[in-house]
Amino acid sequence: MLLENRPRITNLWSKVVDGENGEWLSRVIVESTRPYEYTLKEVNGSILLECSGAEINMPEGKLEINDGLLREINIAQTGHDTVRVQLSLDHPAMFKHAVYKEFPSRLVISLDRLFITGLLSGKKIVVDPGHGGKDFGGRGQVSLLEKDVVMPIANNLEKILKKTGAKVTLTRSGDKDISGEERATLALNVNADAYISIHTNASADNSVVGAATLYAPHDNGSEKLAIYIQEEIVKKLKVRDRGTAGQPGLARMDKGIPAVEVEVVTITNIVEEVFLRGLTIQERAAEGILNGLIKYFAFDRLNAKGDKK
Amino acid sequence: MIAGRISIRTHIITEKDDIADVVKQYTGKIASPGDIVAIAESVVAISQGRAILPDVVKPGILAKILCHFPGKEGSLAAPPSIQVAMEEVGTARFLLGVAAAGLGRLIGRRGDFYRVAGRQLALIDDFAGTMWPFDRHIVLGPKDNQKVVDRIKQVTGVDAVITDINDIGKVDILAATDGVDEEALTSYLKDNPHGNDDQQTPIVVLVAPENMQKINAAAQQGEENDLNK
Repeated sequence: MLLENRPRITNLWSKVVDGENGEWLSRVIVESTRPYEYTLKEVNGSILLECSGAEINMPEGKLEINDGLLREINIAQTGHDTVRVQLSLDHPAMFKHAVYKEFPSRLVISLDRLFITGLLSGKKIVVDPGHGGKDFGGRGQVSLLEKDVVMPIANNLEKILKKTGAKVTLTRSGDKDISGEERATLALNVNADAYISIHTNASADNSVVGAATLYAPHDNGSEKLAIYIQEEIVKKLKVRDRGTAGQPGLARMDKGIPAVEVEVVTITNIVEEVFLRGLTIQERAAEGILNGLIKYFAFDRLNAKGDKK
Repeated sequence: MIAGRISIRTHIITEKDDIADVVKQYTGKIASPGDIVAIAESVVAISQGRAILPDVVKPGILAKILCHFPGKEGSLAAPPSIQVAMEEVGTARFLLGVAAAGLGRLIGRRGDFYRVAGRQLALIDDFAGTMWPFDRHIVLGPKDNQKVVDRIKQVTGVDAVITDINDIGKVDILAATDGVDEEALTSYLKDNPHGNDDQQTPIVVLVAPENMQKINAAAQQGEENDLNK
């Protein structure tokens, strides 16, 4: 059947990868039954792939990516044998591409994530896995404890932040009971550019679901940071948006440090407790927080007090 | 037996879809007789309406107690999923499986629960076990698998298999049309061509060597024609 038809685009996907030469890349892969003619160019902050002599063999429309650089990909059949693939970016990026004429044929576009590393490199971020020790925080209906599950999320966040060149300090690395004052002192001692405390929501009503981000009650960018993180975490996790709110408990933080408390989902809901056990959601929660930080430092540098010494 | 494969991204398949029609829609201009179409078991199950929201499940005391025993990273971690599993095979058989698993642990043997309680329970995906928007559902294994693959062959003219492949390379062929060499296929699917979260491709066309030879010859001819232009 393939012999009788034009090349057909069967799959389109994206992944953040390390390049062969140590670059950090957002990679887009367009798979097709055979190679086709194409042009690739940058247009108004988007990257446009125009394919000729090809047909789509997958759903047309939008694929949400949200990797901090690449927001979404749109694919459309624009004529009987022409296809347009549009990569919409949140930030500028250099790109290169290659075609692999194997089976299936692959057109690979690699976007350099230099803008993100440029933005975050050297930033001092304090990541606080909430609770610890005797203070276990929220508890799931089965058995999961908040103090345990925030740890892998914090470790994932540390890992991807280090990838950007940020200087990361964790408030705890084991199951230790640390006071709020100690956490605030640590953030002050490292002169943090941002303080991210990771939590889960807990509710007596076990039908309550979703994510929320709380912020320090200072006029120092904390609210803006919370709004960005909340937007991005909801996009990443596809969970209910419980919004943002002030958190009086963060008042102890130094007024120069934007500080937020991210409640990634609600541990007391049975579905979200199971979500939290999964490695995927633990990674995605960290990615959502990173995306919020990228937006904050990209759009609110002044609020962030940018490059602290 | 297989010379190449094409993974196909589909729309989000729901219970409104007829899986044979979906396979025809996406493979009609790609697969030829001799090829094999592999379909991920979870989308077959979803198309059969076997995705259940937890709100409609009332876990009993047994389910609430038993949820504390299995490994929490696998399926069946939550009381609603355990309740659904108990209803799928019957409480008595489920409990026999639990007893067998307990005895198995004593002698360091794994897998006794599913051997006794039923392999179909291993196909149940708990919350977060299936892609969005079914990640808030409990997804049971598909049913009438042989009928499904036979109907796909009837509709498309191409052999079909239903696969259960996990991320650590464990491949189960749940059903196959007559003549498919399941054993050979198993080793070929170990790297999970249905993909992970980044590339959701529940349909994969496995191209037969004779068809691949024709494709390569046609591609070569096309390149020569381009050079002569």
